Amino acid sequence: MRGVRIVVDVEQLGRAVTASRVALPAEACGLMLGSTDDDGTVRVARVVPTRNAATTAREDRFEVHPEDYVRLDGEARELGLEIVGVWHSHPDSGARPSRTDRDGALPGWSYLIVGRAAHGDLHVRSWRLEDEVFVEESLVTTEEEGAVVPGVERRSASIESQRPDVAIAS
Amino acid sequence: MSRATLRLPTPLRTFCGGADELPVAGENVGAVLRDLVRDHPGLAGRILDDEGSLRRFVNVFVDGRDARGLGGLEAEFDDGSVLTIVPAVAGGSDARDGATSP
Repeated sequence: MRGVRIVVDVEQLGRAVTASRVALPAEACGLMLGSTDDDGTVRVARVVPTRNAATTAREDRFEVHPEDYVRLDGEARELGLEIVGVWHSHPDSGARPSRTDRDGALPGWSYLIVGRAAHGDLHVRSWRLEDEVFVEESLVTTEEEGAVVPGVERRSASIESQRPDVAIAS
Repeated sequence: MSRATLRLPTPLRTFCGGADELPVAGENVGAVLRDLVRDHPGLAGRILDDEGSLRRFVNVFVDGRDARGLGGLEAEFDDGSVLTIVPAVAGGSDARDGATSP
């Protein structure tokens, strides 16, 4: 059974995909700004790339640059939003959290992964740490939900999506 | 003593009654953090280590500048400053050893 529901505008999701491909062979990373409904549903209004501050092995490591974190934390507050999660890419492996992902994760945030970013079977899944174990979230695009995420102007979908994972046409 | 606003990251808010920011006062960053942990014991070990030093995976920024470059816990701040606790946000695919977990 899937846990928390996370709703992301498909165009915002596309920003992570584009940044993941541009960053190759390194991993890309960033933060997600949004809000959380009373029922726990996470609504992502902005998917923002940040600098990868990892100093070594950036092909399989990421670290959101702390200066970017502070800047985006401030922007989120000005917009009435908050940092609701982190996203990063796995250039060659699937969108499942690695041991390093688990070791670096914090409870209370969504962890969205762009898997197989260097390949044609790129896909996106989202996870959340619960009792020190990653549980997959139910990832839904606004197009699927038919809803509007506050702060995001809806435009026509440019990315195909399907369940259970969100697969992105290359 | 200066008065400032301390911004908390989402994962730490649960230990501070859900507050996203708190009014704080102190001589420097270290004094603010020690008072914070005293008032919110659930934060013990999450910001400062057993020796009272800033944990390796935590940064504090003072008005957008890393406190480590301003004297660390001794860094002073002005009235009206914004202090931000920044957790290390890191991970990676472990592609070199292929280690993955569900």
